[in-house]
Amino acid sequence: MQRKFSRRDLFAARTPSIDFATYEIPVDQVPVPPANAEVFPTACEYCIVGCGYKAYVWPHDEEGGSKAARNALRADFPVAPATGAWISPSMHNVVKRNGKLHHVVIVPDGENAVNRQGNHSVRGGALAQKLYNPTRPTADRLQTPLLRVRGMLLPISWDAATSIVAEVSKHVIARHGEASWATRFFSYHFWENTYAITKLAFASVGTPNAAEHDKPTAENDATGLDDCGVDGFSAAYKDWKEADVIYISGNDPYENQTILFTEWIAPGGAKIVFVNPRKSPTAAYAERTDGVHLQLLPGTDSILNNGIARVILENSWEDRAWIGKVIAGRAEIAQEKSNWRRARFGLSFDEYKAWLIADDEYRLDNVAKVTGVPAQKILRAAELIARPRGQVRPKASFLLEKGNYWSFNFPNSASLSALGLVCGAGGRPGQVMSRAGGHQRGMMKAAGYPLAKSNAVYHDVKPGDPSGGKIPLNTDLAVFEGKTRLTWAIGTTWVTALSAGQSLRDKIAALTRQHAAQVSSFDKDQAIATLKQRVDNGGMVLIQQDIYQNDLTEYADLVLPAAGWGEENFARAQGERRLRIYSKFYDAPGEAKPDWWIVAEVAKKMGYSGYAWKTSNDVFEEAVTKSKGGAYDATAVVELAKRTGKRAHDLLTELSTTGIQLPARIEAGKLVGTDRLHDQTFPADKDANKIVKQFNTASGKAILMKGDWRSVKPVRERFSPRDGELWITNGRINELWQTMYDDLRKAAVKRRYPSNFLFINAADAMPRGIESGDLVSVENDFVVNILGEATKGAISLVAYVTDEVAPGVAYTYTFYPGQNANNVVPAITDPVTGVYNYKLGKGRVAKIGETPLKKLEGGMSFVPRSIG
Amino acid sequence: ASAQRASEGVAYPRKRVVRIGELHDGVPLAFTYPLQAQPNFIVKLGAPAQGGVGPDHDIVAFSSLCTHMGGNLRGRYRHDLKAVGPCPFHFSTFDLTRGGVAVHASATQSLPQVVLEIAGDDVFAVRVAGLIYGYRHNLKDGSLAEGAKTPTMRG
Repeated sequence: MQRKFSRRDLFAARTPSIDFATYEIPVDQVPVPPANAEVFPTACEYCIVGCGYKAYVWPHDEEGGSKAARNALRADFPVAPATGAWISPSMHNVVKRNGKLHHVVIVPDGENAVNRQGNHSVRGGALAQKLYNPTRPTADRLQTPLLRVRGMLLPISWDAATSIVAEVSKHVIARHGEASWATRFFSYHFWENTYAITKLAFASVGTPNAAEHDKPTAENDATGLDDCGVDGFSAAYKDWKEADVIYISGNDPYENQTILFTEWIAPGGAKIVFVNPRKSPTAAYAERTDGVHLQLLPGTDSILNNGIARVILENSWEDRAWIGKVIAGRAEIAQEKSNWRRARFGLSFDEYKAWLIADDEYRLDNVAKVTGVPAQKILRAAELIARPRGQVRPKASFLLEKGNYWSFNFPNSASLSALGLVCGAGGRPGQVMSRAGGHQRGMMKAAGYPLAKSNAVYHDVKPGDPSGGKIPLNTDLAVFEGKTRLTWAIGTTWVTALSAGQSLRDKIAALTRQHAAQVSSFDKDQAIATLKQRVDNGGMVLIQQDIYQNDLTEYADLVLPAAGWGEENFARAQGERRLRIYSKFYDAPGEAKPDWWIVAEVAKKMGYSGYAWKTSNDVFEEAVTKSKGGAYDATAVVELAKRTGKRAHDLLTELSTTGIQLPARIEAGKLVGTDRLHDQTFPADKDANKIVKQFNTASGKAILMKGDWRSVKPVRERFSPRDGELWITNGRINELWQTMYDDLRKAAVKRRYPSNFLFINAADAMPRGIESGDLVSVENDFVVNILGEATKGAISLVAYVTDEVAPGVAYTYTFYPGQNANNVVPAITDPVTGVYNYKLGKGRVAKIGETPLKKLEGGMSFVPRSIG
Repeated sequence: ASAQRASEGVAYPRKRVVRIGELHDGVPLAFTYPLQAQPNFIVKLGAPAQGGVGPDHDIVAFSSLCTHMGGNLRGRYRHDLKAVGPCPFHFSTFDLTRGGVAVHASATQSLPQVVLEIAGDDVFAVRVAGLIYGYRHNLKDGSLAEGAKTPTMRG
């Protein structure tokens, strides 16, 4: 029954009745692209899954209609659920295209092979929010080269900036040697850029003082997986759908590879064995769907993997036929002349079995005690992945990521790979091993890392070890030792990304901002002379190249503005080696230039030849020549483009959001992709790269690598929490991407996580008087730096009390600017590979106040996240 | 009600949703607003909420369509958490005490909150904060919900 409106009702209606949590005013409409809008294929900027998107761009004063014929989406509004044709307000922005104001909407493309039906993650669904728009939070994009003059970063010309970098570089190399010229650079931001960077670093300069953004060394990621002969991205996404069970180690696919989970894992119905210290959303899913969550203590992955393998071997559940066919024996291992790790740690099956059975460390009761995982759950996991049902083996696949290989790089990834191999995984439909992945595969090296020039050697190298047991040099150590005189940091924050971050900051500050030699004039020659003086007197010059200022900028002498996603045509591959075009569809801000262009300008001024590229397509076509024979072999793409009179980028544009899975080959005039690598079902008579048909070893067989818990047990013990400390482990979270360079400028993300958080169990929170929303400090007095000195590290965070973490194990986001988890993480390196064990932080936790977020109007939600 | 306008100057209608006495803690009731095909739910959370009306500031209303891909959240209210979800499609979950912010989501937008007002014993819907899934405009491409009246029709 409806009353009639009275005057009193109208009066009441004027009273504001809602307080919003943030300054964000909710939007209740979006513009629809007209039927003639320009359409550009692209793929997501962010996670490895690389979903396909289309950018629709049209003049700002036009709009399409609600009927399919009157809009470029060919959709009738309102659009139905699950069609992916809806434009959420997060998908819209206003940009300049060819100097003129345009609307842009970036919508998941329902017609591509990855995120079918237009599914998208929380990250990709807000791609439009990352675009430069000076009326929005992206207004602070870097727009012009900056030189630090009298302490301030001030605009200079590109010519001056590239001249300074080139002249100081030449001086450093001539006076101090090529190893004193360093670069830290992203490995993900497109083939064209990484090719140019590695061409300069490795082919032209020839420095060994270089590392990718996330590591102190130019070492691989999941080294144990590589060494067993399985490429990190060997699987096809459809394999996860065909698996009966998936063993997921140190990764949360719903959070971090969302579409892999929601489109390829969950719909296949595989049971999940979820190995993770955190009861994350995928853990909750695993338990709910008849899988099992092994909530292990940080750093105990290798004893758990080996313990499960021992249960399997004791019960003879291993895949004997498979092992006999594909696992290398002594004779095959002996063929590994160029890989000392394989020569040292490779085992035949009999040796592997004898080792595990003989070592009491791997007895079930001890494994349960050390890992904190109940024995019954360990047995259940072994049964799920290996116990034959009658005559039929379960199809088990294995997925790993940084939680595994960043808490003892080699033994964790090696033990997992060996477990997978004995269960029959590797290169068969539904039976694969792969990394889940972080960023997409944007690395195309122009030349190999000059390992012979590295001064780093495995501590226990033996005469006759292939390649002398050399490992890539630790670039942080080179800084501490005063060997590095110039660092060019490209697309990485360095100080926030690496361990013992505060100690590293102190050192970099001393070598840069606190050094006596500081530029005090715009005069180019004076600036160059001052910086030469710096490097000749023990200091270091820091050049930063990025899209925003960040935590590294306060130490930089020069800042170079890069053009990124959507601002240049680029290419790269995603987690099943799918190569796509990332189209340029709008104008880069100010004078920002693509990284390849900046590198080429400097290289030419340094006197190197081979940098006369006119377009990114030129770089791409040259880069692709280096892919031949590898997992990312795209030579067929360039070949077919040439045959048909096209540019390779244009052919990629025709392949749109689906692209082509590499390695690609040409059959009957058409491009044919590769589902999975090391494919044991690949037709023997068909021509393809060796890596397509065989494992990536000298013999083509897979190698069981010895990932020995005993090799890291004392190290873990030394860095474990004591005297009331907690583990402060860290990682990603669904909504946040990397160093949050875009997230900081996305209103919805800042609303959800206005601060970095500390997930803490109530059992740890209550005795410390901590409630959700309180400000807590974490302090660790044993943050050993790369010199082995015990330094102190601290962070403050907002408490989020939740059973997502176990008692004794707290968790925080890794890269929240200004609140870096790595402050309390010691720079302990894996003894075999030299990679940091980022996950093994610890500290004392105390309440130091309350945050405004604790109040209702603070806006941050503290509802448990793992109810999904 | 000049403040209650959608963009482009189109005014939101006003609709009586329920009498306060008909609401019981933790029992959501469905209603459509502002258009007939736009489902929402109103619930008395039993705890104060942003935008909550009534004596305890705990009566809130939200769209029932997940802002990710339009999954229907009906029947997914969790009274223990004052949240709705996980969405049957892709597990998005929304905190109803904090303006429908996505707790954990594939959704990039908060759940649209229906702005409520109390007049006498009645709860009125007067506006929607946020774009409802499937729509390009909350007031276009459909007919007004039953009982929804535009302010200009009044008095």
